[in-house]
Amino acid sequence: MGEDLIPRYWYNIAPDLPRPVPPPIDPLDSESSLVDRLKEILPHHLIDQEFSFERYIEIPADVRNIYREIGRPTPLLRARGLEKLLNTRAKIYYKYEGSLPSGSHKLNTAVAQVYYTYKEGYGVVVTETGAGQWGLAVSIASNMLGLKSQIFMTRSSYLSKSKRVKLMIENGAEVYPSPSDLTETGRGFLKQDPNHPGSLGIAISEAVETVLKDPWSKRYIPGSVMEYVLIHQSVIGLEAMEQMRREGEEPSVIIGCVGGGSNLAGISYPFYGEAVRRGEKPPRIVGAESSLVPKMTKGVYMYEHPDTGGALPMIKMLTLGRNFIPPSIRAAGLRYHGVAPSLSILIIEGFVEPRAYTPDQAREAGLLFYRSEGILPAPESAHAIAAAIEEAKKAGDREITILVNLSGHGLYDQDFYGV
Amino acid sequence: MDLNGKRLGIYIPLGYPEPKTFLEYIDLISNLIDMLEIGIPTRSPIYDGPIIRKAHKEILGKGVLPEHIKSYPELSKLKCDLVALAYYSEIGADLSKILRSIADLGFKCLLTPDLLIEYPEKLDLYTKASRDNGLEPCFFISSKTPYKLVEKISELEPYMIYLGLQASTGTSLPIQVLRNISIARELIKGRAPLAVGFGINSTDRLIAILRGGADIAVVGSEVVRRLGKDPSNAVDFVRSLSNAIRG
Repeated sequence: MGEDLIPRYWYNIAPDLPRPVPPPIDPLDSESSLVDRLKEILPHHLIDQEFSFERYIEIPADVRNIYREIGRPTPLLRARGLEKLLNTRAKIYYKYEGSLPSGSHKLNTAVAQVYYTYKEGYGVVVTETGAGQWGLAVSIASNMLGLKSQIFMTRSSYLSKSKRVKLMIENGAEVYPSPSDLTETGRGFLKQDPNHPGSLGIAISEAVETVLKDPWSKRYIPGSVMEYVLIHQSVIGLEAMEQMRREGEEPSVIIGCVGGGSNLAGISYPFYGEAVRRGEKPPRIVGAESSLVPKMTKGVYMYEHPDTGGALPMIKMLTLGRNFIPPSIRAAGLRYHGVAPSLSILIIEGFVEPRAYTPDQAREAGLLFYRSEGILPAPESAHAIAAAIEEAKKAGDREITILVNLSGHGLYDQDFYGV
Repeated sequence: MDLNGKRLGIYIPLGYPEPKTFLEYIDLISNLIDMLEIGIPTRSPIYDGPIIRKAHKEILGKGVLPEHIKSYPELSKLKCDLVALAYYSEIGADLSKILRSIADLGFKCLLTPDLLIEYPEKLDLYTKASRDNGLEPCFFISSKTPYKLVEKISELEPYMIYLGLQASTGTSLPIQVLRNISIARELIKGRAPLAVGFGINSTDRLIAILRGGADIAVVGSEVVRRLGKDPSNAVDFVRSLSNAIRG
């Protein structure tokens, strides 16, 4: 149903940005090239997408078919109950990515990345996961395409989100708490602290190290930050643009939460690009982060390794530093230390407004949404809902149209809400 | 596609592997090439791979400094075009000074790979300063350069627009470089020669890239690697590249 809404091309924002995304670089004292080593780590089609000059990248027919099978297009819904509860004249639309089988938007890029890995003849994908949404998506995509998956899950989430761990294992995934004793990186951190909570940066290093030990059969696939991940997630915004058009609406403000940046980029970049190409002012874009991981509001724009161990080349981004160990929050998908390079540029250039919300603010917003709409948002997405509520309240008597990416449901996160 | 009119460029850091061999080498290859790109010694070759990073480290260790370019008057006698390459982060404060120095030696332009990436607000200043010193502007772009910016610099009648085919020099990532060259050509619309470089390490690759639409192909890391080991081998390599284009 609504198959015509599934785009045939992903959107690459680089041609429409206000300034170029800086290239990845090696540390100056490195005697080898971490940049060149990417070809031993990532599927080659994805490296090509990362450095493509194209504005639109064709979605393979097989991937488009899988998008259809998993339930794309996802619904665009109007939160009338929330509007009523807030007594606002603002119209609040949400793109419900929680309707996908994995319960979050992560499946959009998992399907694509696992597909390319499969096409290139590798048998195993290796990755990191925080809250488990990405890991679950990878396990589902791998199961669909007949690949094995190995998933390093931040220890704090591995212990607190056992339901997702079980679901990943049910899909055939091997799931390890990170830091683990399987890698040199993991053993180093466990030596410092046997109860180390882990971080996405450490889990990425463990996944990359695992691939480099067996680059003949394994490939690393990341859940965010890389530009090609954001490109795949553009399917959200491209669908939403057409759905909004059919509703006769144009968003005044677009909102998403920011872990590495892929879900905010996914919903907002196509709208930004279309406006820029027309010479018009783009809609306002608001990024919601956790106040406990304030990379957008307090990060520094600099070159840094995406992973804690420094196995990957440095990229220029807003970051709290790869050694930042975030507190063990339930919105674990927001714990990453940096922001995707293109999104960092849009924040610095003033096109994206960063906002930080406390866990209590996110919890309150999520519960309000549940009571009014019947959908329990993922703790990460609840931060975006908090921003949407703030925007609606600020609008006062003005009629504005808010579009928010409800990137996942929170049915495995009831303890976050205390319900 | 015919290779008639296609040009060969070679990149070497100033004074590498040491000043005497450098001078002998550029003299030997200057008749074989169309453009010599001289790397101004730098402590932060951030877009370079290990071979060129090491070369810069070595020449700095031997006391070759950016201002020493003035002490190479032999450069002005070479028959090929001369282009200097320096990072804006290091020379931005002394831009006019370095532009004057290279203009005196007959250089065509100063290529600053980080200008549009890190200092896009300095574009007008750089362009004016180049012209004020009798040089043409020239620009480095990557596959991440916004289309409007490529179109804007194309209108400035630059000596060349240089597209980096890889994320850094000397790398060979699986990127469809011919697709990216084709898009760059469409954006430039023939208003400036399209030079390309990064990762060109064989005659086959050179020919493919020139046939794919580049006007100038620049070879750097592979020449520097050979020059560091055996200068005569590096001359033979450049001769083979030259023959591949000129027949």
